[in-house]
This record gives sequence, C-alpha cells and structure tokens, in this order.
Amino acid sequence: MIASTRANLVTLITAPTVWAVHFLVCYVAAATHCAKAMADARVFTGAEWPDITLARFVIAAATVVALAAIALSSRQAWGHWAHGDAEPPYDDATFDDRQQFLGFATILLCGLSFVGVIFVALPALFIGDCR
Amino acid sequence: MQSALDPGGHEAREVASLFWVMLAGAGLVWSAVMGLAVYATRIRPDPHEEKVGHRLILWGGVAFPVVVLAGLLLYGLPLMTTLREPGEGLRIDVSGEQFWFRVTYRPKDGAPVASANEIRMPVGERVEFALTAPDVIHSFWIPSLGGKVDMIPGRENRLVLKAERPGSYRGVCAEFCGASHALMAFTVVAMEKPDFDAWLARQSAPPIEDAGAATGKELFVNNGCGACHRVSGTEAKGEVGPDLTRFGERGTVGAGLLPNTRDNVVRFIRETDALKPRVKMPAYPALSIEDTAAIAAYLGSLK
Ligand code: HEC
Ligand SMILES: [Cu+2]
Repeated sequence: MIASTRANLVTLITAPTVWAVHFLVCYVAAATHCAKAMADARVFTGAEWPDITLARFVIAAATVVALAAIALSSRQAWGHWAHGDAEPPYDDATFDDRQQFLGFATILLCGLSFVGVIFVALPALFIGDCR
Repeated sequence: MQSALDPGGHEAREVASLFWVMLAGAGLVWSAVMGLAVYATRIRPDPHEEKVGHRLILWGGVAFPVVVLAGLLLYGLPLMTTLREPGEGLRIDVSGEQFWFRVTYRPKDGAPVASANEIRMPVGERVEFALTAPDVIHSFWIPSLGGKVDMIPGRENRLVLKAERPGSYRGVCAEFCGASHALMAFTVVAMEKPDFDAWLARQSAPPIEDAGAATGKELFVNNGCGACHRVSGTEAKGEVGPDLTRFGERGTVGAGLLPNTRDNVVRFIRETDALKPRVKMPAYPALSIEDTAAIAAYLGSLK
C-alpha cells in the first residue's frame, strides 16, 4: 500500500496482505455476530434464525475497501513496470530490471488478490442468516 | 443402502447432482489438458510463436480458470441456503457416544421418546437433528440422506434432513473416535408420515410384557443390567448404555454390529469386548448360555 515511488518487497505483498486481512475481517465478523446472536436466541425448531445483516454490511464495506486498495496497489505497480518496452523476463542485475520485475509480479498478484477477495465475499451475497 | 450417489432424500440429491456437475466439469478440463499435451508432444512438437504462448497463458491460464471457478462457486453457493432450511416440527437429538448413538425424539407436542442406534423419521418432512457428543468427537452421516455433520463435545450442531423415499438407510460415525469406531453405525428407517406418527404415539407407552419372557426379565434385573440400561415401565432405569425399551424392533445389535438375532444377542452379552474392542459394557462370560438366551429372548420380545 504504502505509496512508494519504487517497487520493493512491501509493495509486492500489499495486495495478498489486503486479501488475507479481508478474509480475516469477513470471517471474524460473521463468526462473532452469529456466536452472539445464537447465544441470545437459543433458537431451534420453528424459531427464526438470527439474520446476519450487520455482518453482511461489514463484509460489503470491507470488500469495497479491499478492492480499492488492491486497485491502488496495481496502479502504482503499473507505474513501476510500464516504462520502456522491455519484455519479460526481467532478469538482468540492473535497477530497471528489478523494478520491472517487481512491478510486473505485483500486478499479477493484484489480479489474483482481486479475484480472491471477490470469491471470499460471495457467500455473504447468498447467505442471510446464521444457519 | 449406504451410498451418497444413491440419494433417498432432498439434501443427498442436491449434493449428488453437485457431484455429477463437478465431475463432468473436471472431465472436460482433464480432456482439454490431455488433448493439449498430446497436441504439444505428438501433433506439433516444434515451438510456437511467442505471441501464441502468451495468449495461451492469458486465456487458458488466467481467464478460463477464473470463469470456471466463479461459475462453480455461483452454482454451489446457493445450494447452501436450500440445504439449510429449518425443520418442520420434529426434532431428534442424537448423541454420539463411544461406540453407539443415543437417540431422543422430541415431537413438537408430546413427551420425549428415548431410543438408540436406530432412527425413524417421516418421509416428506424436514426433520431437525441436534447433534452432540459427551466424550470425543464423532460425526453423524447418513450418506443416502445428506452430508455429514460433526458431533462435538460442548457444542450442539444442527442438521436438517428430508427423506423422500421410504426405506431403510445406513448411517455411520464418520470421525475416528476410538478402537470400535468402525463398528459404530445405525439404521435409519424412513416411514410414511401416518405410519411414523402412529409408531411415535405408540412409543410413549411401555412395551408389551411377554409372559413367556418372565425368566429373562428376572435375569436381566438380577444381573444388574438395569444399572446401565433403561426399559420403560420396569425398574431398569440406567442411562449409561442404550435404551432397550424397544430393542426387539431394532434390526441390529451393538450399533450396527450384527443382525439382531437371538444368537447374536447372546454372543454380544457374553463376548462384548471381543466383538467390540474397548466397548463400555462389561462382558458376561460367567452367565450360562441358557440364562443369556433367556435374557436375549426377553430383550427380543420388547416391542
Ligand atoms: C456398565 C454399564 C453396562 C452394563 C452393566 C450393561 N451394559 Fe449393555 N451396554 C452398555 C453400553 C455402553 C452399550 C453400548 C455398547 C456399544 O455398542 O458400544 C451396551 C449395549 C448393549 C446392548 C446392545 C444395544 C443395541 O442397541 O444394540 C445390549 C443388548 C445390552 N447392552 C445388553 C446388556 C445386558 C443383557 C446386560 C446385563 C447382563 C448389560 N447390557 C449390562 C452398558 C452396559
Ligand atoms: Cu466414530
């Protein structure tokens, strides 16, 4: 995330880190919400299941923030990568090659993380209560 | 009788169709990859242009898996909601214990009914199972009716199943729980709703006493079996082992171990731990075969 004019290992792992944190937030939000709601309701036959609207909002917000952060990270990485017209592999021991390598790898990881965040959030689209 | 691919209930049917769809998808992907491998090694082994390679990676390596996985996810996720609709009134508590299943029917109106190692349920109605365990983790699985759910000490897990076809299904413990884990099974009898209601109504009355089994009953009581076993309407009130009130109705003895015949019950009482390692019931080798047979006759008469 950390805006940086240069690509480095931190910019490289920003997107996967966002993905991991997003996963944690979603998981904890749903788990704590339902643990509390179920303890309160002690529902069973016939009774309604507590809904998870609140957790769904948290998940939706976390997803928007995470996707935005990943988009920013990829835009920054684009800047590190897309200068000159060199093609991969960037394996010379030069500053430029290192920057291009890191930038390109970051973009790929951003793509993966973007899809990952969406897949993590999808269940909240379908599941509306604590069953 | 016990196959997830031979569904007898709503949940199992959904899961089975999910499996077939996945299998077909996996088959297509596998064929495509194998086809490519043959193409690349046999049909055109010489190198391709770099642009072609890039395109293959982009479409075959990125776009294709994303689309396929998203499709599968969007197909599979909605299943989770339909699979988890609430029950329609009858709740059955099942407790997994080393190495048998304690069963308590809790009809919406009416007193609870205790049983063991056999579950009867009405066809066409969503039945709610409350799953617990007092000792170690077990797992409750009736492959023909639905997916498995763990039975975890200190927790109550729920499972809703709807049988659609009357018949007899086998259920098992699906989580290793000790020496006799593999000998821990139960029978599920799915009955037409009116039959089931009549059966359940009958359960609240004590079993009919069979005059010919009086000796067996006396031996059962005198040997202290009642310390662990309950037979409703008698002084046997133990809660440690399976309720034997309607043992004669069960198809098996020893939690799915052997068919419920008099000989097998005699064997079970006299060689319990040989038949079922680490079982929580003492064997009674000192009981004579005649006496044990009389007890077995008594237990078999309990209906
Ligand atoms: C210390 C407690 C204890 C005593 C005493 C005891 N049992 Fe058991 N019994 C058990 C337990 C526990 C099981 C379940 C074993 C298993 O399947 O893992 C069991 C299972 C059984 C079963 C099989 C039930 C079924 O649903 O398949 C029969 C029949 C039985 N006992 C008969 C007897 C008889 C007859 C006596 C007296 C001679 C007796 N038991 C004494 C604890 C006891
Ligand atoms: Cu087990």
